[in-house]
Amino acid sequence: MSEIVICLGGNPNSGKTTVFNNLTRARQKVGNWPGVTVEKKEGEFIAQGKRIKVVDLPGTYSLTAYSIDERIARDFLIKEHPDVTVIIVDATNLERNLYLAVELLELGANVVIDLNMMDMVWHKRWQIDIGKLSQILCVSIVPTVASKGEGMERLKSVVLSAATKKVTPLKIDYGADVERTLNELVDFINQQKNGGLNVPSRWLAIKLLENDAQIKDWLQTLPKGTEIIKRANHLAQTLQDRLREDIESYLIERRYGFISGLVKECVKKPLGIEEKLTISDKIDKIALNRWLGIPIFLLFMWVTFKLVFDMGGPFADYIDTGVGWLGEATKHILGENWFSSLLSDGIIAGIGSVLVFLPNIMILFLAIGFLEDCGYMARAAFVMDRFMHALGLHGKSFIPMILGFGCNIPGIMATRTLESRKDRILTILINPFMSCSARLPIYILFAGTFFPTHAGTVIFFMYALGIVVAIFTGLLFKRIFFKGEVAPLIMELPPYRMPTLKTVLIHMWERSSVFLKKAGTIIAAGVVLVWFLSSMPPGVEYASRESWIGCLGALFAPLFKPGGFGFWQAAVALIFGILAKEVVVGTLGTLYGVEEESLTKVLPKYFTNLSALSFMVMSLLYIPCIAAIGVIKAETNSWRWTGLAVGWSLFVGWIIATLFYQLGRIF
Amino acid sequence: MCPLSVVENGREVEILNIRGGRGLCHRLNRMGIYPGTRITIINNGRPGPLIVALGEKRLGIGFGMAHRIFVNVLK
Repeated sequence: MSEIVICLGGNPNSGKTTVFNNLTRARQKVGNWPGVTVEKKEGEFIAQGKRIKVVDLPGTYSLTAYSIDERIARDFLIKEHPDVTVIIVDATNLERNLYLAVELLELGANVVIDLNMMDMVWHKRWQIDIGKLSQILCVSIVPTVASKGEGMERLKSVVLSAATKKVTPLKIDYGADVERTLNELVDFINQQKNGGLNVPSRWLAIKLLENDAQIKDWLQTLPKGTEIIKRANHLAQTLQDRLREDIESYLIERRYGFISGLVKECVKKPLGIEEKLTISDKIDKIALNRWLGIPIFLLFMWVTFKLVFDMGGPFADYIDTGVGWLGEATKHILGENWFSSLLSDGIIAGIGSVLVFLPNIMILFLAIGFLEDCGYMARAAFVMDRFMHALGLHGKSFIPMILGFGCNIPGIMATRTLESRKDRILTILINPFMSCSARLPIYILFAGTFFPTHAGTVIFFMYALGIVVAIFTGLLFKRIFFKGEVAPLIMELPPYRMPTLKTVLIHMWERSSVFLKKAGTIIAAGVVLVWFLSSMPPGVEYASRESWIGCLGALFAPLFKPGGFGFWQAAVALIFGILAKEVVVGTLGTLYGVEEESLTKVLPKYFTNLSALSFMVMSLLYIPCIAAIGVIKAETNSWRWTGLAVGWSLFVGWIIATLFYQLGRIF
Repeated sequence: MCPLSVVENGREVEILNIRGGRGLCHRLNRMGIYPGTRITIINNGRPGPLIVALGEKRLGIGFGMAHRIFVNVLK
């Protein structure tokens, strides 16, 4: 066997020069390729006693012969027929690098693939199935790390054994239309004996369809060449009409398609970050954005709030009217006696006061259910976490607090989303200080009467005071009862999805019915108790000074003296206010024997500006309404915590109202 | 080694140790985070919470907590 000639091909930057240097060491000579000023490097190495000549081809991406480099490489391959062509492939970019290899394989070159830069592949933890790749392409593949000289000896021996290999050109399936044309052209070319060119007839046919100018030039000079070209042009024209696109780009596309299929088959990559990002992740980039997160959250809360109180309001009014009518009707049918009074003033009014909350609560749980099921609720806790941490609370505690402004009952019930019992109880305990909408009528009456020009400011002050007391209470209780850290915030974020109506409705009903059952029994009992106190002793006018509740009011009145409203009517109003804070206004009306509208004239006789303010503070803080107390009991499942909530709020309300009055008198 | 809270988006990290009480460690363990676990940072909301990917799962980790989880950045 004479001298073996191999050549090195490959994309620029695939490490081809490094491989060349590694193979040949110092045995190199540098010249120019004939006729052009492109550097030609040659060298040699000895493997198993055989001398092997190495020609370094210019670095190219393909064999299209558009540039000088590419033409040199192709001319060399076609005309010199090296025994082996080693293609250096950058293993980290197989899609691009394999193109040249595939072109060479189509040409029928005796190819050995040097899979270079394998260290990068290992580092990226990709898995390249070299065996499979080698099988599909019918070539030997040698993994190397040329920069470290790894795999070079193996490459030498593989090249040597490949030198005697018989090669069949690679056949890529170009699709039915092209294949039909190709077959026809190949048959014709075979009949013409390739026109004398020593290349595979299929390759020649492909190049002719691609309208390769250089190949056509060669053919022109050969006998029968013109006939082949004529035939090819004709077939290409027909094919072009059928494909309706440029044949050359179509073929290139098919080649890349083949390669990407190959790579998909043989390379396993761990997903990159961008590919890993799901739609949920992308939504989270916005929903949990450090600037947009809070506004988005507040928007959701505002919408929830609006829905609960705007949509629930009318229904609540219907229920209220219905209950009122039922009470009147009961009295009308049974006549005025203790039994009808028990039924209408006690039980119907009591159950009614529960039912009135029901529409709001159902809509609230519908909204919460939706936010939970779609996956946003878990995120909301996140958004508010930093702020709430400052208060010693959990991010999730924010939602109940906000809802408390509407009504403490849904607020307290919303604490169910908190996992930690400590956080939950703490959030429940501070919730009643969030000024609910039922307290607003009291503020409106008193602020409107005593501070007509600053009513808005005064009302805002009440809300702010509620928040301050809530925060203070939270910090204090945390110190006393819940030492230790806030539960660390880590939670699974479920992917976003559209909840089904059915599951949302089921969630809504589960929670609403708990409210009805548990709170209902306690509220009804409480209402009956107040009715009893108002109706006793027998024959007394309902809720008059002489009734037991009147006596109770008179009994408690001195207690409120330091607060500036130490008269029995105020005491009774506050006691009735325990039923529901709205009742305070109505009770005052009843006790002073005037319509609610004319209270503005009567009240200044009893209250000063200062005592009016302290009465408002008292109304804000003094006790959760009986419905709220019932829910606190139901949710904490403990009379101790319920007792603490009641006791603490009475204490704080009294202290602050009194401080207000007394300090106000000094200034 | 650095706290998880300073790692930028897209990085994969290996958990080295968790500097916290037993409660914190247990909670993390329950969520599948142990020393040696590999997670990818999806969104570091510094100074807010982080979202990390643990396989297909997405976990939200409060910033304060992320500060106490020490990791090795892999890539």
